[in-house]
Formats: sequence, C-alpha cells, structure tokens
Amino acid sequence: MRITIGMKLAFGVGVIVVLMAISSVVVYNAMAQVEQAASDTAEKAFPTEVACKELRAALNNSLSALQGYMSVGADPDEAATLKGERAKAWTQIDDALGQLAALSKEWTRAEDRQDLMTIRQAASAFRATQNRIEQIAQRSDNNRGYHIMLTDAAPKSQRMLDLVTAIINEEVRQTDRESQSRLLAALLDARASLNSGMSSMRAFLLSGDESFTERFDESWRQNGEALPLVAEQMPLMTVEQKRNWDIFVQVRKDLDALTADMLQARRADDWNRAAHLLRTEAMPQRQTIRDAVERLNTSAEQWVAQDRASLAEAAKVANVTLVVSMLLVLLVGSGVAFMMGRSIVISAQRLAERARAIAAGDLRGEEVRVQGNDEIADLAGTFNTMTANLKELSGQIHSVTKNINSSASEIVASTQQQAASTKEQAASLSQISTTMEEISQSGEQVSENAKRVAVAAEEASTSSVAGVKAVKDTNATMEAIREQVEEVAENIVALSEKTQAVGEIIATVGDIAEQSNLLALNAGIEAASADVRGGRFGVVAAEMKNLADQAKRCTVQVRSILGEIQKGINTSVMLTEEAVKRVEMGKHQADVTERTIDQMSQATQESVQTFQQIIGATNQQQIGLSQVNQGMQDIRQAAEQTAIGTSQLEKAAASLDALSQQLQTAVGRYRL
Amino acid sequence: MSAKRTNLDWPDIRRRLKASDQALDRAMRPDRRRIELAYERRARELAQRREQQPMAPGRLHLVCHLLQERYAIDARQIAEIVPMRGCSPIPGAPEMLLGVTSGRGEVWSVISLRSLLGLERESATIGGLLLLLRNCPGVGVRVDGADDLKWIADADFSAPGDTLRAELAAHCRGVTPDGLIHLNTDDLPLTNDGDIPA
Repeated sequence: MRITIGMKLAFGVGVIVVLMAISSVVVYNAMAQVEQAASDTAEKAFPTEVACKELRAALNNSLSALQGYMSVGADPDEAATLKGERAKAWTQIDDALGQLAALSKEWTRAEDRQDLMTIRQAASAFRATQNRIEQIAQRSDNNRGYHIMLTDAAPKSQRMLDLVTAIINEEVRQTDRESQSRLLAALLDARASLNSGMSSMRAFLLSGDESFTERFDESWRQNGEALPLVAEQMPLMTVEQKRNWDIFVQVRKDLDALTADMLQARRADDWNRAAHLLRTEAMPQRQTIRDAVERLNTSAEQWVAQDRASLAEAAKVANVTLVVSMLLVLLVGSGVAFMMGRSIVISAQRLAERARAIAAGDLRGEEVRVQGNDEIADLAGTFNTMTANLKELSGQIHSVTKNINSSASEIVASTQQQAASTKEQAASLSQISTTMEEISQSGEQVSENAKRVAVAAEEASTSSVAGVKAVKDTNATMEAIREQVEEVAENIVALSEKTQAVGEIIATVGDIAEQSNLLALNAGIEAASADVRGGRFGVVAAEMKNLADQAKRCTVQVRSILGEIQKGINTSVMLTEEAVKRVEMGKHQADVTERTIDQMSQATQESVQTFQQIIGATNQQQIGLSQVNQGMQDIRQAAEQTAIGTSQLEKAAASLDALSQQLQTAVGRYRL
Repeated sequence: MSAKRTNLDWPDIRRRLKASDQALDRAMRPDRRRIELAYERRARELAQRREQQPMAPGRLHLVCHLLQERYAIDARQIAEIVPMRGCSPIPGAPEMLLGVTSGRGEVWSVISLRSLLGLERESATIGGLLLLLRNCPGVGVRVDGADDLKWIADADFSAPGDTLRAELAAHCRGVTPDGLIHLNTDDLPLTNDGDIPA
C-alpha cells in the first residue's frame, strides 16, 4: 500500500485535531456551566436583591411620609405633598412586589415563595393601616383629651373667665371699700387660678408631662378655695354679679368633671389614636415585611454566592483542561513532525547532492535510490528519468548546434536584404499616403462647398415657395380687383344709360321750350297785331317767351352737364377697361412669374438633389479615401513593422548564431 | 403719358358724393319758398320791363335767321309761325318753291327764303320754321329759326350799304347796328303768276 506524505501528514494532523476536539468539548462544557451560572446570577439573583432593596426603601418612604403627615398634615400644602409621596412609595412597593412575583417563577426554594406571600399579605395590611392612620391623623378626635379640651372644656373655661371678669369689672366700678377689696381679691384669685389651671392642662395634654398635672391640681385647688371666699362676699354683689357667680359655679362643676376625663384620656395608651395605630399595628406589620424581605434577600445572596462558586469551579476546570490539551497537542505534534521531517529530509539531501553534480556538468553518476513509495520516492524516480533524458538531450543538442550555426549565417544575409527592400516599400507607402491625404482634403473641400451650395439651394427653394405663394396671393388679389373693376364698369354703364334717359327728358324739355318759344313768338305776333288790346296779351307772351328762354338756357346747361357726365362716363369706362386690361396683364405676368418661380424651384430642387448626390458621393469618396488612407497607413505600419521585424530577425539571427556558439560551448561542458 | 396720380382721398370723395346726393335731393323736393322767390323775381322783372318800355316810335319785329344771317321782320306781317315738319316737293315748281306742307288741315306753300335772298337753296326735307304771312294766305316762307321778338325803333335802321348782295339788297329796308337786316315780306316776290299754288 502506498503511504504518501499527505497521508502521513494527515495522520499527524488528525491526531492533533482529535486531541484538540476533546479539549474543546471539555472546555465547552465548562464554559456552558459558567454561562449558566452567570445567567442565573444576572437574570435571577441580582434582580431579586435589587427588588428587595427597592421594596425596603419604598416601605420606609411610605412610613416617613405618613409620619410626616401625622406631624405637619394640618397644613393643606404639606398634607398634599406628603400624601403624594406616600402614594408614590406604594407605587414603588407594588412594582417591586410585581418584579418579585415574576422572578419567583425561577426560584427553586419553597421558603422563598412563602416569604413572598407573607410580604404581599403584610404589605396589604400595612397599606390599610396607613390609610386608616392617614384618615384619623389630622382629625380633631385623634387626640381624645385635646378634643375634650377644644370642644367642651375650653368653651366652659372661657365662659367662666368671662363671667368672673364681668363680676370683677362690675366690682371695680363700685366705690372702693375695704370690704369689697376682699371680694375683688377673691375674684381675681379665682380668675387667675382658672387661667393657670387651663394652661397647665393644655400643656399636659400636648406633652404628657405629669409635672403639668401637679400644677393643674394646685391651680384647681386654689380656684376651689376662692369659691367660699367669694360666696361670703355675695351680699356685697349686685344682682347681676350674683347671677353671674351662680353660673360660674355651675360651669365649674361641669368643668371639674371634664378635667378628670381629659387627664384620663391623656394618660391612656391610645391618647393619640393615629400614633397608637402606628405603634401597635403599622410598625409590627412593617417589621413583618422587613423580616420577610430580609430572608428573601439573604436567600438571593446565597444564590449569588452559589453561582459565583459554580463560576469559579467551571473556570478552574476550563483552565486546567485547556492547559492539558495544549500540552498534549504540543507533544504529539512535535513527535509526528520530527518523524515525518526526518524521512523527507534524508531523501531530499540525496536528491540535492545528485542535482549539484548535474549542475556541475557531470551526467555520468548513478541513479538516486529512495526508500518508500511516497512523493519523495516519486520525485527521485522522476529525477533519475530527467537525468537520463538530459544526458540524451545534450548529445542531440551538440549535433544540432553545428547545423544551426550554418543556417543562422544564411538567415542573417537574407534578413539584411529583406530589411533594405522593406524600407524602400515604407518610403513609397508614405508618399502614397501623403497624396491620399491631399486628395481627401480636396474632397472635403468639395463636400463642404457642395453642402454650402445645397444649403443655399434649399434656402432658394424655400424662398421660391414663398414667392409662389406671394404670386398666387397677388393673382387672387388682382382677380378680385378685376371683378370689382368690372362691377364698377357695369355701374358706370348703368349710369350712362340713366344719363341717356335724362338726355331724352332734357330733349323733351327742349322741345317743350322750343314749342313754348314758338308759342310765345306767335303770342307776341298776335299781340303786336292786336295793337292796344293785345298789350296784356303781349305781357303774357313776353313772360312765356321769358320762361321759354329760361327753359332753353336750362336745357342748354343740362345738356352741357350731361355731355360732361357722358364724357366722364366714357372716360371712366375707358379707364376701367384699361384697368381690367392691366389687371389681366398683371395676372398674366403673375402667372408667368409663378411658372418661372416653379421652374426655378424645380431647378433648385434638382440642384439640391444633385448637390446632395455630390455630397453623398463626396462623402463616400472621403470614406473610400479614408479607408484607402487607413489601408495605406496599415500597410506602412505593417511595412515598418516588417522592417522592424526584419531588423529584429537579423538581430535574432545574429544572436542565434551567437547563441548557437554559446550553446555549443555550453553543451561541450557536459561530459557524456 | 399722364402725370402719375397720387392716391385718392377717399374720405373727400365720399364727402363730395354725399354733398351731391343732398343737393340733388333738395333740388328734387318741391320747395314752396323757391317758387315764391321765382314769383318775386318775375314781379321785379315785369316791373323793370314796364319801366323799360321804349318810347321811341318803332315796331315789334321777329328776329329770325338763315344760315349766318339774321333778319328782322315786322311782326304784323306774320300771321303765325309753325314748325316745318317735312315738305313735299312739287316737280317742275320754281326754284324758290320748296314744296308744300300741311298743318291743322291746311296746306301751305313753302317758299325758300334762301333762294329769294340769294343763298344756297335748302333741301325740301330740312326742318326749320314756316312763317305764314298775313299778306299771302296759304304761303309761308321758311326760315332756319326764329330767335326773338324785338322792339326796334324806326330810327335804329340804317341804310344797308353796298356790301349786301343784290338779291338781299333788293329786299332789305335797313340794317341795325347789331347786324339785323330789316326784311319786308311785302316786297318779296311770293307770287309768280300761277306757278305758286295759292
């Protein structure tokens, strides 16, 4: 079986890979434990601790707010602020309890879950107790003794004070007698002791200091001793004073009972109900919660400690595994590499020694023998084959080199001739190319000129089209003029005919004038023959003659005017006829112009087409010339390249000759 | 070639046409005031004519003409002036007889005054006027035209002189300063012993 270097390498690498895989698995497991521990710590233990701390802080805040409300809640602004803080603290408590409830799903200890339940129950009771305290803290009946003072005792003492003050004031207004001074002193004592006693009672109710009760007792006793003294002096009182004093005494009795109640109320444990509730219920509840939270927190801390221990253990295992695996890999890898390298190096050294001998020119040595059937053995066999072939090749090269020398000399001579003829060819091509360039430039000029002429012809064609249109418009206008002129002529002829009618009328009038003239002459003749009797008739005849003469003159004038009118009509008709003829001539000329323009336009179009054909032919000629020129260029380049190639060939032939000499010299170095 | 015409002022032409139309329209309309003015003018002329009645002795003459010559004939010698509407020549009649014509049922002989006075004889078909003479009933002398009746004083006629032709001088009684030839129809040989039909 053939075991190649690759298989050996693969075996070694495989061993290393297996060792690394084993160590990786171990390390992976260890890291998994670490990850799990870290996860537990991060997601379960720490959040529990944090929630417990938040719960404790919120509980303290709620209690502080409640106590603050109990102290300064009388102020509405302070009360609102403190209530808000307590509500906010309870919101935090609810959030913390919610977090703990969510985290409790991951807890493993039943005691922790039990503690959480205890906390929730206690918190609920604590909340209710705080609410009750808040409700009663600022009520007047929270402090029972003080409530009795405010509602009952204080009004009564004030009443007593007013009564005794009234009595005193009345007494002061009386005449200053020695007997009444005793009454006044007693009254003053009663009032002073009453004030002192009430003050002491208030102080005791507020502070609870028993020393104030002693002062009260003393003041109340003094007040009681003042009563009989005043009673003795009652005959000195006025009716009003007496009535007031009676009321004073009665009210004192009522107040006396109240003082005992106030003292008792103050001395009781629940003298302040809110504080009592706080002390007896709220604080124990808070403690219960705190204890449970503490246990929960302790459990969480233990959990964290366990997780840390697991983390440390897992890390330690991972480190050890990693170090051991690295050492194993190192040892195994080194052993495999050494063994494999050794076998490869020995074979390579043998091959290198043989290669050096061959490089020195000695092809006579024996074959290189290598054990094994791997790539190195293949390389040795191939090297031996190469050596044998090299020996054979050197012999062949030696004989061929001689032939190459002679052929190279012949090639050099031929290439020299070819180079000379190629240069001549390139010179001729250059001349032809220059000539083609000149022809191409001429063609371009012709094309440009043809384009300019074509453009001008196009413009002329456009102008002729416009001219034809103008001529047609002129024709139409002239036709319209002709029609109008003919219409004018017809109107004039109609006028002439009417003039003729007027002439006939004038002729009739002339006839009448002649006849009238004749009649007048006859009348005159008859009048002349009648002598005197014909005088009036002669006047009539004369008038008739006059009228006939007027008619004749008017007829002459009208005839003259009619003659002028007729002349004018004739002239107008002649002018009209002439105008029509001129219009006809103009129209004819316009038609001729139109035909001429059409012919010019056609000629221009034909010229344009011809020029365009010229342009096309010229362009094609240019293209052809360009192609010819390009071809000439290519031929010239090819000739130049041929010349260059021939020159290079000549050089190559010379160098070939030189190389063959060198080859012969080099081959001669090898000893066969 | 006529001078080059400038462009017509058509607005002016239209104004002139409009003015002509208005003038014609006014002329065609019967104007009472115009008639009254004519009567006033007539009355003034009549008054002037009466004032201008010649006092010198004379007679009313008919002024007529033959070709270029103008004659004055005593109005009393003329019975009537009738227009000549054709004249039928009589064959074999004397030269001075143009022919005969008819009118109002009467036939008149037409004498060529031109022939009598030595002028070129006119054609029988020519028109003109026929002067019917009182002294020769049924005979009339043809004249080319009758111009006017004019009062000519006797003293205005002067001797004819030697320049008149013989035929005319034979029948001329006198010549006025303005060239009227006094012609006396009584002197005219209007009868020829039966050649002229009466």
